[in-house]
Amino acid sequence: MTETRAAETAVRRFLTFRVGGESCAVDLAHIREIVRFESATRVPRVPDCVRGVVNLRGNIVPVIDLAAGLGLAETRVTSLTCLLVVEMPVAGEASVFGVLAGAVDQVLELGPDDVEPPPPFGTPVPAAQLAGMARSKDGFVFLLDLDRLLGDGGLLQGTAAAPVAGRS
Amino acid sequence: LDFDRAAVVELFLAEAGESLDAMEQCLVALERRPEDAELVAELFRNAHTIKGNAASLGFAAIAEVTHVLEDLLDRRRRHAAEVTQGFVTLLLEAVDLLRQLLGKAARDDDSQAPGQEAVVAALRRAAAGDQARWPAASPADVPVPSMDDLAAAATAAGRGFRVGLDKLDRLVALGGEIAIARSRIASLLEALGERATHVLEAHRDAERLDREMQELVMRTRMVPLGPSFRQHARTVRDVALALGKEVRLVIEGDDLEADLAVVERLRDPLTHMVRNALDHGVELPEVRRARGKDKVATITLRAYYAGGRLVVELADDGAGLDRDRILARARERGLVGAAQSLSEREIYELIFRAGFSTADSVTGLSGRGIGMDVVRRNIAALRGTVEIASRKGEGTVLTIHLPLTLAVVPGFLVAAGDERYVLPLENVVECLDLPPGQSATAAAGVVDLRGEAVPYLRVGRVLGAAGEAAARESLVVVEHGDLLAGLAVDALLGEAPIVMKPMGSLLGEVRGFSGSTVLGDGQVALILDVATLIRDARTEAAA
Repeated sequence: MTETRAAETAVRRFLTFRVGGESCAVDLAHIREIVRFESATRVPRVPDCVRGVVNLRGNIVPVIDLAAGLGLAETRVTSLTCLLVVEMPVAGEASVFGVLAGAVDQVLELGPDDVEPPPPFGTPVPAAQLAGMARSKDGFVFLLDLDRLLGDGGLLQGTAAAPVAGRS
Repeated sequence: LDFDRAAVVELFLAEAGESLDAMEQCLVALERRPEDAELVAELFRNAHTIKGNAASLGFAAIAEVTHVLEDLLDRRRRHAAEVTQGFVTLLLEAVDLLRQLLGKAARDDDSQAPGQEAVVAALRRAAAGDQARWPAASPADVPVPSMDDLAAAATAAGRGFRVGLDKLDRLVALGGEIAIARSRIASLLEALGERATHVLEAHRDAERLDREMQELVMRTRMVPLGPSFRQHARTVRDVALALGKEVRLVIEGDDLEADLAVVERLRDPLTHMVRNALDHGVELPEVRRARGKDKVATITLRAYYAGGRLVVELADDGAGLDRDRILARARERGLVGAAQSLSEREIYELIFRAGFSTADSVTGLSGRGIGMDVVRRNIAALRGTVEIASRKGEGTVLTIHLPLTLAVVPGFLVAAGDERYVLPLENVVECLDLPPGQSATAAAGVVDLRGEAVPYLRVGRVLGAAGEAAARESLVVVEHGDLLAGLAVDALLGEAPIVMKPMGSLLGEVRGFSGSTVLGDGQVALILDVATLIRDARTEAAA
C-alpha cells in the first residue's frame, strides 16, 4: 500500500505544448484550465513577453508569450492557439496568469528516471530556467520552471511597481 | 457549544478593541487635562469591562493585566497617584500590551505576551505608590491598529452589526459586474430595434432599481473619519515626547464620511505625513519662542468635502519648507540640473520625487524607510492627489484630494489607434475637436483654449498604440491639480462604468495606468492614470 502510493507520487504529469516551435512542458498540477485564445488587450510599458491582459470570467489575467520573452518568434494566433491558465506562486506571491501556447500536444507521465538535467548550452530556453529535459516520441521536451522564468530577475524584470527606469 | 463560544469570543474581541481605542484617546486627553475626573472614570469603566469579560471567557493573561490596571486607576481615582508623563506612558504601554493579548486571544491563545511581566510589574509598583518613571516607548514600536479595529469603531458609532469587509467588497464588485452585464444587454436590445422596444423599457426600469441598490451598497461602506483621525493623537503624543517638542493636534471635520477602503488606505500615508510634520516641520519649543511663536506647536488635521471629493488637509505652524535646502539636495541627487531654475512650486514638488528622501533626512521617526514619493503613490492608488504649500517660518500644508468611493466610477472611453482606453469621468473637463494645424504625429503639443495655452499629449503616440490615427482627432481636456492639460485621441466613445480591477500580481502596478476594467463587450480596457501621464510628460520636458 505505502509502496504503491510512493510510486504514484513519484510519477508527475506534465502538459506539453508548443512555444515558438519548440516542445515545452509544465507540471499539470499548476494548470487550472486551458481556454481558447483570440486576442488580448495590449499593456504598454511592460516587457515584450507580456502579450496583454484578458478577461477570464471577470478576472483580469496577464498573458505571457514565452516565445517573445525567450527571443523566439512571437506566437502567431491560429485556431490552435490556447491559453494555459496557470495558478502558482511566482517570487513567493500567489499568481494567476496565462501562458500562450501555439498548440497543446499531450499529457506526459514522467517518472524521476525520465527527467534528465539539461546540457549546459544549446537549449532554446536557457538551461538555468529549465526544470529538466525529457523525451517524447517526437523528440526533446523542455520542462519549464515558470517560477524561475517569471520570478525575480526573470523575463518580467522592470515591470511590477518599479517606475519606468530612465524616464527622467 | 464551541460555535457559541467562538461567537462570544468574537464579540468580546471587537468590544475590547473598541474599549482600548477609547482608553488610548482618554489617556492622550488626560495628559493635557490631568485633573479631569471624567476621563479617569471612563478609563476605569473600560478596563473593568474588559477584565470582567476576559475572566468569564478564561483569558487569564488579559484579566491579570486589566486587574492591575484597575488598581492603578483606582489609586488615581482616590487622588493617591499623580498624572505625570510617566503615568500616561505606562498606561499606554499597558493598552499596547492588551492589544497584543487580544491578538493572541483571537487565536484562542491565553499565553503571556513578550514584555508582559515587565509591564505588569511596573503597573504593580505604580499601584503600590511608586512614582518611578517608566521609559517612554519608542515611537517606531507603536502598533498600528488593524482594519478590523477601524471597522469595529465604525460600527460602534451607530446602531448596526458587523459585516465582513470581504463580503462588502464582493457585494460592490458584483454590483459593478451586473452594471456592465446590463449595459451589454441594453446595447444588444438597442441593436434589435423596434421589435425589442418593450423589453428595452422593462430593462431600463430594472436598471433604475439596480442603480438605487448600488447606491445603498455604497452607503453601507461609508464610515466616519473620526476614529481613524483620532488615532493620530497617539502618534503626535509619542513622537513629540521623543523629540522634546510640544505639539497640540487639532482635528476638524472628523464627522465626515468616506468609503471604508479609502479611510483605511489613507491611514498609512497620513501617519507618515504626521510624523514628517513633527520631525521636520515643527520646531523645538525654545526655537519657537525665539521666533516669537507659541512654544506649543499646532498640527491641524482637517477634512471637508469639495466638488464631490473628500479633501484632507494636514497643516503645521512650523518652520515651513526650506527652498534652498531642497534645491541643494535635489541638485546633489541629480534630480535637477545645476543650471535649471525652478519656480517655488516646482521646488516643493521635488520632495515627492523618488530618490529625494535620503538617509540623512530619514530619521528613525519619520523614516520608516518610506519617502513622500511613496505617500504620493499610495494616494494616487486611491485615485487621489496630494499637493503641498508652504511659507517659510509659518508652516506647511499638505492637501489630499480623494474620491468618496472606489468601487464603481463613471468612466469615459476613448480610442487611440486601434486601442481603447478609459479615464475617470471626474478628470474630464470638456471635449472638443483638436484644432487643425497641429502636427499629427508629435507626442505632445500646445493648443489655444479660449486664450489659454493648454499642453496636450497624443495618447496613441505616448503609449505606442497600433493602428492608424484618425483624420480628425479629438481633444479631451483634463484637470490635474490646477493644471489644465489635453489628451489627443482618435475617437470619443462615450461614457462607460469603471469597475477597477488590478492587472494581476505578476504585473503589479504599471506606470501610467491605475488598473483595468471590463467593457460592455467583455474586452478589457486599461484605465489611464491621468496624473502620472502628465507628471511624466512634465518630468521628461524638464530633463
